[in-house]
Amino acid sequence: MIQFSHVYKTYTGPVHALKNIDLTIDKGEFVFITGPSGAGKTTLFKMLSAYDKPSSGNVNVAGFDLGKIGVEKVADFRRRIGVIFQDFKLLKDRTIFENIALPLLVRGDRPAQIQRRVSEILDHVGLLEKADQRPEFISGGEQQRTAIARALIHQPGVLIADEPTGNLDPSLSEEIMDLLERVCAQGTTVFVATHDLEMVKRRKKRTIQIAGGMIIGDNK
Amino acid sequence: MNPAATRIITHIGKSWRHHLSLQMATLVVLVASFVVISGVINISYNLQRILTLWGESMQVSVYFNESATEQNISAVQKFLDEDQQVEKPKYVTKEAALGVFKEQMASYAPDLLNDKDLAKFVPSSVQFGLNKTVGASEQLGVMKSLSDTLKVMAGVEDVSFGQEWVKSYSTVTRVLTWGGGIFILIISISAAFVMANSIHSSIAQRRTEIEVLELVGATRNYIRTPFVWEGALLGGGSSLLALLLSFGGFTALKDYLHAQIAFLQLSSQIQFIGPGIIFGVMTFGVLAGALSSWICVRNINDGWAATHATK
Repeated sequence: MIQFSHVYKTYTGPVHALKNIDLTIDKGEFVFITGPSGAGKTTLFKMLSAYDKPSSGNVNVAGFDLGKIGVEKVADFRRRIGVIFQDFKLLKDRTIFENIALPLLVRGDRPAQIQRRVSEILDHVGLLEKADQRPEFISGGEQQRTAIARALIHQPGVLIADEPTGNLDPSLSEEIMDLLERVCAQGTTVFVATHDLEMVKRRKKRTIQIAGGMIIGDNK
Repeated sequence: MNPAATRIITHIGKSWRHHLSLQMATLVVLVASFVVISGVINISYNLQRILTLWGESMQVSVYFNESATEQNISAVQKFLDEDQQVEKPKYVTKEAALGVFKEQMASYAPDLLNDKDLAKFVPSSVQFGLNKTVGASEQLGVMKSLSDTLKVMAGVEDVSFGQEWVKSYSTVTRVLTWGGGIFILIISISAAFVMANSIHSSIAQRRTEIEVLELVGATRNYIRTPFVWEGALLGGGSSLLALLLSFGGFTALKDYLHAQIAFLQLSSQIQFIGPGIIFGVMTFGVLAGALSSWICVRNINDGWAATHATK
């Protein structure tokens, strides 16, 4: 499902953000990637979501070669994955319902289908009653659940989350992680970048440690 | 309503709600630019009409020499009859020309009219004008070409068409066409930059939206289309408003202008630009708006918007 082979990423400077990353994640796995700030987690996250390309090596996600992917295929790739950001990236001028419906709208689904699917997922993440509210009027936890709902609405094979609990208090963080585990239990590959080591220890999942752009531990 | 149309209308509505002052400022500058453009076109259009009217009254005279035979004259007449650019060639006999000359000179030089040799100095001729299909800027060239051909024909003494006047007239029309064109081009480029600046600002303020749309798998066309429509509407709306203002100004000035140049009998020639030019100005507005928007949004929406934003 996700495969990195001898991946290097170098930014101008030169800054070596990733060095010789070799990694395989199977379908339905739940994987944490941890490491201090500047370790390369965000670069790895950008590679996985096709927001950046490797300087060398191969990145293969859901059958797409992300090192060679052209702009005409990027949209197609992103319709097959779900991405969650630390800052939620919700559109402030749209309601919770409209934010969650976006992936279906851009795919050209029929209004009736969108209505049904969004209502289902709103119920699943416990936000049915907030559907008509705008993001600024709901809590941080609810905003993150909205972002997760948006990432899951089109039933992606891979869910990639960059510090999904970074802006949340401990109880809300646990709530979000429970939700992600439920998603994984339904067959979705979940990849979570985090620096919250306590939470990682409690969850007892596969954990990849990264430092200085290199993998320094993998408890597979 | 079609979901795509709804999306575009919503996008434009939001853009105006969120950036009202910027959009209004852009609209005012664009309308002013298009008023100048349509004003220049209008002046040029009316001058061309006046010059064309004057051009239609120009006559070419082919004078025959003393030894010209009937066959020579017939050959010239046949040549002119067959030329599509020539309008109504008319043969003037020596006697008819002498009669007109005497009529015109009677009050100035009565003694001259009694001169028995006078007939020798008044030649027979063929006179003609050019067809209306010949444009004002082409008239000099056509007349020169006809003159060169006629001059070498048997029996022809000289060909006259007021060369100097036609040359000046042709220069004026050429300067008007080129000068007006260059001026319009400069103003149009400036208008396109103003439009691009407005759209660029609108796009910059909606960068997050573009990032999120890319993130959820929107294609480039899906993202760009509303921005391109917004630009097209801004350009088209500005040009329409400018044309309405220009028409109002023209109507207000028309009566005054007609009174001032009544002696020239040109009132019927002064008109507001025709439907074809109006359509052209509006099409230009729409296309310039759409194109400048497309160029601006293309710079951000390249599939990796979030990468650029976070670098």
